[in-house]
Amino acid sequence: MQAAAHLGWETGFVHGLRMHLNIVIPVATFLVKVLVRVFSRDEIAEVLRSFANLPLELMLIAMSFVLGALSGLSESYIGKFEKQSDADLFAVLLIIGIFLLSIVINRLTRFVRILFEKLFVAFKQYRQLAAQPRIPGTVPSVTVTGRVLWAMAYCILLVMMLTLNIGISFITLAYILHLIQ
Amino acid sequence: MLLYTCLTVLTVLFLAIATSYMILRVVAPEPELRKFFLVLIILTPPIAAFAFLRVLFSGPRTIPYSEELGKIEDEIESERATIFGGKIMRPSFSERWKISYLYAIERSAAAAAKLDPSSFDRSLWIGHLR
Repeated sequence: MQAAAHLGWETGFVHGLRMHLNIVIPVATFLVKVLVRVFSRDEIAEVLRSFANLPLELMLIAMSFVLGALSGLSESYIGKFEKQSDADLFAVLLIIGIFLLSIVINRLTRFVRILFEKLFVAFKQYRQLAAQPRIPGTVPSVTVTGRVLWAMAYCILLVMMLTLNIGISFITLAYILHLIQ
Repeated sequence: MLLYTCLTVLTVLFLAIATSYMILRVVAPEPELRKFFLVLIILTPPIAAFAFLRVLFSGPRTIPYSEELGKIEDEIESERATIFGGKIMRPSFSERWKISYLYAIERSAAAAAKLDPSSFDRSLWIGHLR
């Protein structure tokens, strides 16, 4: 009885993983990347920086799924079309679409990296200026508050860009998985 | 500035739709909540479209350019290029801000001139831009 319940839980878990591949694939990719870099004793900054490349990697994974479907690995994909030629043509269009989206994502990733670097420098300069002695009772100069303001602006832009970047890649991957599953 | 506003509208729209979809999936068995969120989902795209059109035709309110804040941004950018390598961004954020502010002033000057050409002294506006 206990063994049966144990198996039921395992089966449910595996079924859950299969049903939510659009979440499992990005999380697994990210975890594997982090583990590989940690075991290779890379710097933490390098590990974090590699997170910015995740959306592009998800697009490449999506493209490889389409290539798999094109080669006939997915029966359910071919079953969605009346003729094999329609399925092939749609797969080619999908690959072109993913390629164009990858270009957009690559540009966004570059911008995200620049914003992240700017944020780092703004905080570094802020820490240096804030550590300098100040006359008690005086307001901090604009050189200090200005850096905080810019850091806030970078943060807002960073969140917007990351949301767009990850959103585009997640939606693309989910759509491709919906087609081939 | 228009680009950033468009990006904001897009991000808000995307976040609203994604969140609503997730909430809808979670509250699927409760019809009242489902109706409420459905209304929200239906309303979100027209509101975003309205915001986008308003920005497109009326233009966003430009924040007055500050020379000191612009200088700080230039310092941040030059140190970023030194630490991480690579080129300095051209146009930088401060340059974009300055250009968009000057453009907004120019546009409002042109609008004022259109309304009352007799009382408009162009040399004053050009002096202000400099």
